[in-house]
Amino acid sequence: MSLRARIHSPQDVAAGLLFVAIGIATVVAALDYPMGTVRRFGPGYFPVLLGVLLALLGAAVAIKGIAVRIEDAEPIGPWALRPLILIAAAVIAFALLVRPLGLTVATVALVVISSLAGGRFSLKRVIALSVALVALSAAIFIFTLGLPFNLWPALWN
Amino acid sequence: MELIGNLALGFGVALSPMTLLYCLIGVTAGTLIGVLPGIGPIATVGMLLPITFHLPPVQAIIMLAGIYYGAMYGGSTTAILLKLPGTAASAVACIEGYPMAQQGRAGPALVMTTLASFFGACVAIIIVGAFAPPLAQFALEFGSPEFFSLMLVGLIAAAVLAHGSLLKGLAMAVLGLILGMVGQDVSTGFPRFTFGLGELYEGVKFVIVVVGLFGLAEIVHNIGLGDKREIYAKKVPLRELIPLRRDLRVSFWPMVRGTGIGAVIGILPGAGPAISAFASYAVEKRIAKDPSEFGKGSMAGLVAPEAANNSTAQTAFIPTLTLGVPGDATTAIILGAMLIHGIVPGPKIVTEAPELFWGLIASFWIGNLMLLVLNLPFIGLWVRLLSIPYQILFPSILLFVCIGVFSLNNEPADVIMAAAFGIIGYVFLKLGCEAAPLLLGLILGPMVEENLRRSLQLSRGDPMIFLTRPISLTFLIAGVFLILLVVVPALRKPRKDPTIAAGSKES
Amino acid sequence: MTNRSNWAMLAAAAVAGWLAAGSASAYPTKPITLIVPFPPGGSTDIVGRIIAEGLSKELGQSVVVDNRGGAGGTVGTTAVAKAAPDGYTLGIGSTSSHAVGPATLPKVAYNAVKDFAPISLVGETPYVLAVSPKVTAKTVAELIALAKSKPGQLNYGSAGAGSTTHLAGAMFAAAAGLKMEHIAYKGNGPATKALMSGEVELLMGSMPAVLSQIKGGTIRALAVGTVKRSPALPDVPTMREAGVAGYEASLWLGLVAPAGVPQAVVTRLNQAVHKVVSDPEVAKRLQATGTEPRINTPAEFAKQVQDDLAKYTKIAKDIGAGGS
Repeated sequence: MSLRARIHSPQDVAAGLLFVAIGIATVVAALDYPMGTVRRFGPGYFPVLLGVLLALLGAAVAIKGIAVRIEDAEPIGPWALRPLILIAAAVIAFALLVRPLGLTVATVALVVISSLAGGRFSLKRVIALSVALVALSAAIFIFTLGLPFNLWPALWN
Repeated sequence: MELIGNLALGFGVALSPMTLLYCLIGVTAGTLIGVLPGIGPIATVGMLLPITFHLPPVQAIIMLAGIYYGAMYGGSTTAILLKLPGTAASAVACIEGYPMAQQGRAGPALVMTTLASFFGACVAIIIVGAFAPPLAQFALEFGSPEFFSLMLVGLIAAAVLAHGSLLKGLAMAVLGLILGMVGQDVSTGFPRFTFGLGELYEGVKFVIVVVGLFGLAEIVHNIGLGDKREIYAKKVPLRELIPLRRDLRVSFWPMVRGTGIGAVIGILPGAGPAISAFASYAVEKRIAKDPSEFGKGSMAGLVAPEAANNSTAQTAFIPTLTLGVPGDATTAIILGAMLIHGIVPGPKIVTEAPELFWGLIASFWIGNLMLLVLNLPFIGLWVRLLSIPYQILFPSILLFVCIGVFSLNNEPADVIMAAAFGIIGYVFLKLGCEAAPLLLGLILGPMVEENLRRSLQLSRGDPMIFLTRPISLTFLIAGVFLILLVVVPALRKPRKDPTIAAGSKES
Repeated sequence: MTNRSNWAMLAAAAVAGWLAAGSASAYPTKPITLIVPFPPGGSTDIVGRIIAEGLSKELGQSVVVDNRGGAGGTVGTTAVAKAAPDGYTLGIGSTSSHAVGPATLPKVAYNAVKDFAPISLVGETPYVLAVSPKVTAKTVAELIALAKSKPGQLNYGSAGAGSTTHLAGAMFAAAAGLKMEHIAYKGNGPATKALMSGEVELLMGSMPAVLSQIKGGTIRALAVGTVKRSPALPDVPTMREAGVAGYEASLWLGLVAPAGVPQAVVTRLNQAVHKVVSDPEVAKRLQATGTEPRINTPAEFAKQVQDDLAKYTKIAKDIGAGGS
């Protein structure tokens, strides 16, 4: 508890630790790559260097967050976890569905899942929006720009 | 005198009705695809290429070129309104444009970017017309050591990009550099951080990162805000679309500087409009009287990069036309189109195909005028986007993002990667880490590494190569100067450094 | 990833089974996807689109280009290899995807010989040995003499480590017995620019990348790697004429299908390609991109793939650019 009281910027501490973790992970992954010589740097040279640099910068950020007093430092604030997960899920659903099942199914999945992310869920609005977006995107991307999308599942051809 | 005669020839070609029509088609398509995130000029020019087989060469090239520079206009629209850059070059427009939109000044922001685009392009066209051959010679002087030194200065400038904590900005830039290492190493072909995925061999695509870090993260953030978002989404009356006289006044010199930076970078093959936009943003921030304004809707920080990327899009035709070396992927396709039509770009193009060269120059002007006329009336309409209920707006944005990213390579893995960057972007947003330095690191990192390693290979390991070449030496001195500018005041009065103090308020 | 392709394969297999019931003589009855394993706008894409346009007319069904770039053409080519062998997914195969990629990249998910049914070559692009204006040598023999007088000092450029131009340059060095430094650039454009400015002394460039500079006089062509002289550069000798024995290499592009397509489909497509490529309009367009129209039989094409794969695998191993 006493440590917590001394943290002036939880944002900086968390960010700093994140940078340290990414830096270390980079170095670990890159240690397997050839380092090369001074005349011919290998592919591993820069990643290791940068990983170390990132870890050091991260440590500095974290230490500053603990030690340096900043007036009205911002708290991290509440995380919008539900929107975060659902928006990511909607995008991933589109990615997985668009090739096997076509643009229509993928669009509907995206609209339904993302609409669950925030505000009131209205079935009527979701249906209307899905229809409008399928029509609009088919008109722009398939018929005007000629992108190679299937509108319907491949089996229907 | 000769220039006037040449321009008369050019306008004679460009003003024929059919040529005008193809120019209009090109710039309209360019604006449209510029607005749509993900779908960039590269794919569009590529897909329209077969159509041009059946057109006369001059009209074909004029249309394809129109798509290229037209996209520069459209790109900033969604960046300002939705924090969703339409093209890589307009990522910078998010930094100042989006806060302006939040303050209800989306109209002036859009009007001013359109004017800045027009200004930058028009000045750059004069440069192309008047000085193309000597400038091409300059591009040839610019070898690997020069590129390294220039990019290094750019990286140092990344430090000043951050408007919050300097340390965090540096860390984000380094993270961008690391991301830039993903893929096959240019010097050896060794795959790094690819985890065995073929999709990653050619690196992380810039557009995917931008769309995720900016666009998707912002959507999550907005939904998290709930009703608070509605404050700035209310209807904007028409007269608030018009920029104030003050906006015009503070924009003039930044536009001039942006145009100059953009013009120089366009001449260098391989640099591209995204770099020129970032560079001119960094310059504006560095020389601003009140840098704390940056990140909160600074007009100078918005218009300078916009003028710069349009200027680059025009001067990029200098190496393409006179050296036959494309400045970027889009001009590479346009070069291919010329070859198909039997036009051989190179030093002799100005004398051997004057009607093409000067016709193209004249069409640039006409095309930009069309873009101005096309874009200004639509601004009122674009601003209405903000008054659409978010419940309808955000699923629509998501869909356009998904389609755009997918169409980069018809690759579902790219879309999934965008989602991943969306999550990462949201985490950074919550932790008060800005994405802009990361993006600059991502663009510059691979070029810095590639050119450094190549230079040392060329000099057989002797680092003096960077100091014995005058252009390279000049850049390195400028870099040292920049570091002193940042470090010296910080050493003198560490507590009162404005960049650190600002860090506490920004998130 | 595996899950997704399984899904796609399941769906595709269902389609294939369904179609097998119909007669092959009716082929094609629906649009065909032509996978171009490079992004839009590159030279492979341009050739792919020219061929797709011709095939659409010839087959009476639209042939839709699907660009799947990545990893030197191996990502899109993997998709061709894994597609249902029903004749409705075809691909543009090339020296990159069928010889250099498998020779230099670790973990290529297909066998360039066994997983494809070659249909016909479409075109061939010569490698051109070009030198910087700062190099005094006017012939290949003079260049070799120069390189031998300064071992290890001359630089040869390429469009990337493990790229076609890299291996072609290494093959030249091996054939002529030279020791030179390889300098990699990011793509053909920067490599050509480096040659023009003299940063590298020579480049084994692909014809489309260097043709305009050769014609403009900013770089010089000393030889072409093909068996016969190129119509685009009739005054430039072949490597053999210039006295370099055992150097024969070019970049080819051809139409391939996944292994296991019905013989009738292969025959029909081979006829169609021959007709398209023989059309003078199409030939003219291919030539403008630096690609010489070429056709052959599926058997000849198969042999070519096999030979090139062996050739590039050997040189990649010799210079240490091999994949594991």
